[in-house]
Amino acid sequence: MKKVCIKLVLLILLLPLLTSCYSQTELNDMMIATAIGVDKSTTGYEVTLQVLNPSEVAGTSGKTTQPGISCYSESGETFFHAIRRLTHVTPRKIFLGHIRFVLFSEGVSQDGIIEPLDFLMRDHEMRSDFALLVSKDISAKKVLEVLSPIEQIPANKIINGLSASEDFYGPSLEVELEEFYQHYLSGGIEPVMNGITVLGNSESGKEMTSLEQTTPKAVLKVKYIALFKKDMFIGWLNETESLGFNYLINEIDNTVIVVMTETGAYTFEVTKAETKIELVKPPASFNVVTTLNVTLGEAPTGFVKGKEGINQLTSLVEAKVGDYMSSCVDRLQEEQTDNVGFGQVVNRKAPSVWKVVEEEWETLFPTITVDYQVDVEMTHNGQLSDDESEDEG
Amino acid sequence: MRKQVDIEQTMAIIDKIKKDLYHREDLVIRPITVNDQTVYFIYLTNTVELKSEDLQVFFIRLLVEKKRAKETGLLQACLQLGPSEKQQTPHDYLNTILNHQLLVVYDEAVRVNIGKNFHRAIGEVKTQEVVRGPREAFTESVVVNQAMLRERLKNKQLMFQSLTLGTETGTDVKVVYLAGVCKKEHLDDVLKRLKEAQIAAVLESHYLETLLETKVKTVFPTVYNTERPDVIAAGLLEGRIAVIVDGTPFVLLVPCLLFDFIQSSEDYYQRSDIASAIRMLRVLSLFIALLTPAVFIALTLFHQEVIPTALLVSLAAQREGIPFPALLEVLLMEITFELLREAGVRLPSAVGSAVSIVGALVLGQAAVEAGIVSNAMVIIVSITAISNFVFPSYDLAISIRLLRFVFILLASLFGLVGITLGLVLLVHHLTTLDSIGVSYLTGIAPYDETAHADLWVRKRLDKRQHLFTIRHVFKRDKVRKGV
Repeated sequence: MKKVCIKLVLLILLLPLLTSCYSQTELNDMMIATAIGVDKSTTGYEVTLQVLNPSEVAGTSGKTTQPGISCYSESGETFFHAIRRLTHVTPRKIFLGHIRFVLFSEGVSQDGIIEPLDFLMRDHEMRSDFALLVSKDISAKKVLEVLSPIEQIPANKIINGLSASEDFYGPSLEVELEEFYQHYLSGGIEPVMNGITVLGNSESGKEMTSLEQTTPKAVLKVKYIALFKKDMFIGWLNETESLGFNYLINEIDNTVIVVMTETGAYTFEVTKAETKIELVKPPASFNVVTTLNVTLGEAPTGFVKGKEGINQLTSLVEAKVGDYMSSCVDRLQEEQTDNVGFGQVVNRKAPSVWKVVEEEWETLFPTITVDYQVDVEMTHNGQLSDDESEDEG
Repeated sequence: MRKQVDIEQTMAIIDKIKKDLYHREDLVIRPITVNDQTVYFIYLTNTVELKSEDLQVFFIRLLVEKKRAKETGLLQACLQLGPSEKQQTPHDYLNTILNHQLLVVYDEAVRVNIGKNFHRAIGEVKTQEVVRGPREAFTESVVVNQAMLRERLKNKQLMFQSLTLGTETGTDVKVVYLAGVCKKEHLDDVLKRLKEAQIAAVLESHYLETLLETKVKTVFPTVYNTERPDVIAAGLLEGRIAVIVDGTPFVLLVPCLLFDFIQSSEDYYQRSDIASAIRMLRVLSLFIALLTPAVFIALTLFHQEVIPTALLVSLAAQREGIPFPALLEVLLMEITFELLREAGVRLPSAVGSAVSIVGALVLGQAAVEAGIVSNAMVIIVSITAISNFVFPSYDLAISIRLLRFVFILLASLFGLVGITLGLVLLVHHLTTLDSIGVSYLTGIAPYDETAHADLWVRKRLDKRQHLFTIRHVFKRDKVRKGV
């Protein structure tokens, strides 16, 4: 018995060594935050929390006409300070374990966001799988306040919309905290984030009446990629540049490409895209090899003429994809920031060269030359029978 | 000359019995005199029926034997009445009478086994029901139970060793084993434990179960009991030892392993793939029954970030307005359920349905509607309860129920860390257990490859190389003291 007691005591003594959440909180003593917004304030940061109203979102009884979320704002000298100062205004303890994204306003991100990011990395309560976003032309607070129809939690709407846009069209990219931090810390690559904005009147988007019509008064819109240099926001990519960016970093899963011919516009669906960046001559000459599998999605003529016709079209697709990527690289060179990670390619392929150029990569990057080699293979032309094309050919 | 001796001896025996049983008003001493020969028939009221035809035959035979002047005259005559044997000591006389048999006293005493049997007929199995398989169950009579086993194992090696245990009750106990298959050290161990114990009363087989149990304090059963003759027969074939106790249909079986309690005899009467799947389901149910409320507590109190957001929101919405902390909520529901279950077992079946209505309606629905417990909690308690009923053995189910509360407390104190700690301690505890010297986890620890054909899964009967036999014998005491 004595032995058992000793063993038990030893095991219990081991407990503090285990890193884990210690304190317990009842579910109805906490407030589940779904998104954090960060704005500049006169003293430092203004932090906005979007918290859930569980009984409105999931309750079976006692549903009122209240919105599913509430927003609380408070400012502080630092990000963490502001978060703690939020307890002045929140009814319960804030639980940050379930946030879907952290949204920075353009103003904050221009000055650098490393302080908030440091808190987000350090805090033990967070799951680090949330996304980072930048609000375009609007404060983060106003974005978080906008209600959305169908999806009662606007944060979910944004993240779901973002991943849908990323998976099926392409100019968006969900960047999670850890990935951003990695790119921030490592040389030869600079981080990016995705943008978000509000269409319509953001003030009336706060009200439930906004949802009581077929077209809400304000709609949350996923924008394109925001470029960062270290932790500072420096500019936006447009739609084509963003598409090119995602082709370059091999993040395109499924998208469409429109090419113009004399007969009209042909639309192709990209079903598979793979990009490899090859180092031709260290440190400043690169070759980007992209292989695409496409299917014909929409054709003005109703059919495609023979093999030659197909080849003609695929070469147009190749040129278009090349244009996407070159426009992106041109833009990055203009901004003097290597967000794609050409520097990392050098580091990986020619580490000795990288050691030499590492310090001056920022000035070297605008001078690099990139060649594009795009191979397009059309796997289906989508025609039910090939009779007509045979006849015409 | 001889006549004199007869009467003296006879009267001595009668006096002895009268002295011992002077207070018993149900004692019958019935002297019957034929041709000057007085024979005393001694028995307890209503236990023995003496028919006049039988008595006629008895006396004819007695007189014939008398003329032949043989020593065994009375025994020969008694054999006309029924199976008989000579009794030598006063203790035997008493035993005969108290065992509901007839004692015939003339110049000596002879026991005639024609006592009436007051036990019920063989009935159906009540505790371990099966869809397919034999339905008959053991009865309270050790004689009938013995016969049922003999019917199943027509094997000359089937051995019965009779013991009379209980200084006050004098209960018949039979230790059953298959000679040659059963390990001698097991048999010696069992017999030693039974014989050495100074036990006053044996009213049910559990009285002996405690003697056979391991000395370690545990909530786990280390002696198997069943009222199914087929299970006992299978156990005997595997080299185990059964103990039949007069007065109870529950027969003991040792050694027994943890896995015996989640196996059902029906596993062998079904296709092996189906039986294996059901066995896995039982293993799963073991963990569900043990851990569900604890994991729920741990996740909702400590590790909310692990719960998917949508589920967390739903749980949080349910908890809005619940006045109690989650731990109290769980305990409230669990204890309520235990009360209902216990009430259901004790109540006469006519009232039983009332309990289920009160339980389901009042406590389930009304408690949720009144906002005292959350919906999720009702689901958790229900799934736990259902899983608990999956075990074919009541003994393990009740141990798991008890441990569940330990895990709930651990979870509410330390979260998942506490549960892990509890599981570590549980495994440690299980490995220290043994059943008459056989490790409780045999098959897993110590690992036994052949045992795995019949542990988690059940291989096809024709594919099994041999019957599962208990191969490893450990002197656990030695191991423990050696450390």
